Amino acid sequence: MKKRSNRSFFLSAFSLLVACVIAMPAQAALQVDITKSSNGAIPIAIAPFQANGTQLPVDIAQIASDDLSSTGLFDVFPRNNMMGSPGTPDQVNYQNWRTQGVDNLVVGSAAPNGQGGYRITFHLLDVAQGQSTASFQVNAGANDLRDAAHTVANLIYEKFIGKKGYFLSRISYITVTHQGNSRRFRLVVSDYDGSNPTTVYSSQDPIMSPAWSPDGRKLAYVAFNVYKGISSLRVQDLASGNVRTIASGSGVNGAPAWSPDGSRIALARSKNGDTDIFVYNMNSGQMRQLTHSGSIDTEPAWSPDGRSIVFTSDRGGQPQIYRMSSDGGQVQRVTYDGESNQRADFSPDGKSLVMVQKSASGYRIAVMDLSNNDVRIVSDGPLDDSPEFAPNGQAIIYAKQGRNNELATVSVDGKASTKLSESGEVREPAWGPIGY
Amino acid sequence: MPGLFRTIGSNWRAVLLALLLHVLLAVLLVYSIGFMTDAASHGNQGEHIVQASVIDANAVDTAKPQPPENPAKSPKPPAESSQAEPSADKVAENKAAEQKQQKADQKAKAEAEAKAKAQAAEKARQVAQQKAAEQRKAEQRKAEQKAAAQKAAEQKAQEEAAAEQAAKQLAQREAARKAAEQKKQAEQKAAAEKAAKAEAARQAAEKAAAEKAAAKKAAAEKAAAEKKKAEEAAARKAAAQKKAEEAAREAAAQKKAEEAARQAAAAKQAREAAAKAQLRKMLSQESAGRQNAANQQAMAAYVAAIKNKVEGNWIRPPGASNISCDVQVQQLPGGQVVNVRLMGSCGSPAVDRSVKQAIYKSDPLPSPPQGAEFESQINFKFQPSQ
Repeated sequence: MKKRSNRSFFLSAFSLLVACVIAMPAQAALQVDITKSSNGAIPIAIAPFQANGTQLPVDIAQIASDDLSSTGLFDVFPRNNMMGSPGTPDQVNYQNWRTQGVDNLVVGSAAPNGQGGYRITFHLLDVAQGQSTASFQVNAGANDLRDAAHTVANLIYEKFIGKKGYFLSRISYITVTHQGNSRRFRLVVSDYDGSNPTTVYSSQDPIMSPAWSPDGRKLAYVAFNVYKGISSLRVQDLASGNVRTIASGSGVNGAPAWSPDGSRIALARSKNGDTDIFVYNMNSGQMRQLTHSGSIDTEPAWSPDGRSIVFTSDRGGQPQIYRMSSDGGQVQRVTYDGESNQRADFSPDGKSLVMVQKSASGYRIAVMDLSNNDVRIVSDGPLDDSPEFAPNGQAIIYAKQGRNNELATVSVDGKASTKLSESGEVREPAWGPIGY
Repeated sequence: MPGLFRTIGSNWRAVLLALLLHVLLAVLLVYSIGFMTDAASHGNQGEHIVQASVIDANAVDTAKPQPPENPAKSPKPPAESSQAEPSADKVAENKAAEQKQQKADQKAKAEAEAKAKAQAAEKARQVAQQKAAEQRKAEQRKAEQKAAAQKAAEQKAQEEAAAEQAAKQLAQREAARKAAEQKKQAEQKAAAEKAAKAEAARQAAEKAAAEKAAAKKAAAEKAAAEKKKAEEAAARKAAAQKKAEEAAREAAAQKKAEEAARQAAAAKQAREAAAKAQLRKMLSQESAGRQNAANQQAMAAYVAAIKNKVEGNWIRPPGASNISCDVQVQQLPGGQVVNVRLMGSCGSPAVDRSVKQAIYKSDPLPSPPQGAEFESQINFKFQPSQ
């Protein structure tokens, strides 16, 4: 009896062990599938950068904060609400930031680099995790602190968004100022945020359609000579100021667009009142006509792979976007939404187009997904014009016209828009390359 | 003499008390002696025997005077108290009375002493007597025992003698019987031998005659007998064979039946065991199933709680597509995240970071609801639809 109960005890103990062993892999882990994400912006705080107790000539943290904030992708924590200004990770009280909902914190400092400039050190801290996840050093000349601040923003941006930041990119645009009876047109180049504006060409006659060369060194634009009654398509080297005229004459010589490799410029020319798309080879100097319709074909734009060109044509009655191969064949209509669609530009990844769509609400900026032809309106109108993708594709710059002409940027999803301050009338922005 | 009576009359209480005391003493002495005798007779109750043996006349003398002192003294106080506030005239009278009293006391004392002495002597005498009686008794007992032993020895001897005698008689009787028997046997033997001899002669004669007749008969019978024998043998053989076959058949059948029965029994046992096992299994499965259903519901709620929290905390990098990754997370019972391990990239470093932060921001992870079991490891699969 005793023996038996002993045996049964061992048997049950053994079977329990077996059951445990068998059951373990099945119970080892809980499977959770994540299929959605939050739509919120990324909470971040950039504590003021210190420089051995002295004030830096440029508020690096503030510039970087504004950069990130302008994208609409970051929810930047206001400096006034900060419960401290740590300069190094070990000065951070994570709990304070946690309670304020700041998931991410940047702390940094600047010290003289011995060459008249500064060495900026900063750390990206994951507040939720309570530790530093990345550290960076940036060297900057004494006069380059603003660019250094943009670099800081770029590095942070890339960590979170996975793409290069465009805070070192430049834009160009046309301003118009009125002096008595005469007007002054200027071709201006500035930082992406409108700061550091520089006039690269000015004229009493209109200037139109600036376009950045892919390397960011040249601008193509159209200059009118009212007196002579001609228009010229010019390519200007920004560093040297040298100008090369691509096309000139009466009628239309405009709407230049650089091929992705910078070797060609597509443009619109009119002969006998009929405007068509041409391609000018920068190396050979040859001009080749791509479209031969009896309607107006204009505003060409290259796909990033250089294989196709989209353009605006009223061959269907109203201006719409058409697409063709870069040698002029296989023309297809692309847009059907709205009363009209004009001024298309490819996104850097080639997957979408931005354009001006005219509807009952006026002229607004629209983004079209080329994979499914879905169109999303990202601006309010009523007279929005000249949209162009940021070099990383995450934002669109455009000109708001009407009573107050100004430049604005908007995130590709239309959620965040920023106005770039510039006094006077501002037209036709063009967004240069990434800049680094 | 009349003076004495008067004194006694005036001090009747003291006299009474003294008398009472004497009586008491006498009773005590008698009783105690009796008791001691009694105790001694009971055997060795050590203490009492020792007391009894120690006692002698001297010892009794020294012990004796004490008791009378008390009754002599004790009557005094009442007399004194009554004489506490007498008049001067009465003092002489009192003195005389006192003296008388003292004399009476002394007399009483002497009397008591004498009485006590007499009693002690009596007691000693009694003790001596008792001792003597005891000795006598012991001697008597010894004598009795001796006599009993002697008697027993005599009896034993007598018995032995009787037994011897009986044994002798028995042996004699046996011998006689044996002798008679031998004689009888011898006689019988002789008679038997005689009869046997006669019989043998007769038989020999008969045999000779029979043999002659038989020889003839046998010759005739032999053939028939042999024939019959052969036939019978054949029949027997056949019958035997048949019987054997039948037996074999029967045995086989029985064996078969037994085997079948055994098999049937075994099958039945197996069936019953199987049914029982099945029942047990079903019962356990059913309860397990019920438990499972409840647990699954609780686990689903647990998973949903974790999923909701992490999804609410996940800010996906804009434009990131084709996100897919497995993440192993270790948590403490309080939901504290202790380790986040990406099993390969989710598509880009920025997505990896966002996934990691989504989990760390969800710390502490939801606790399991009632019925759901806590799991220290959670395997996340991040795979948004677009």
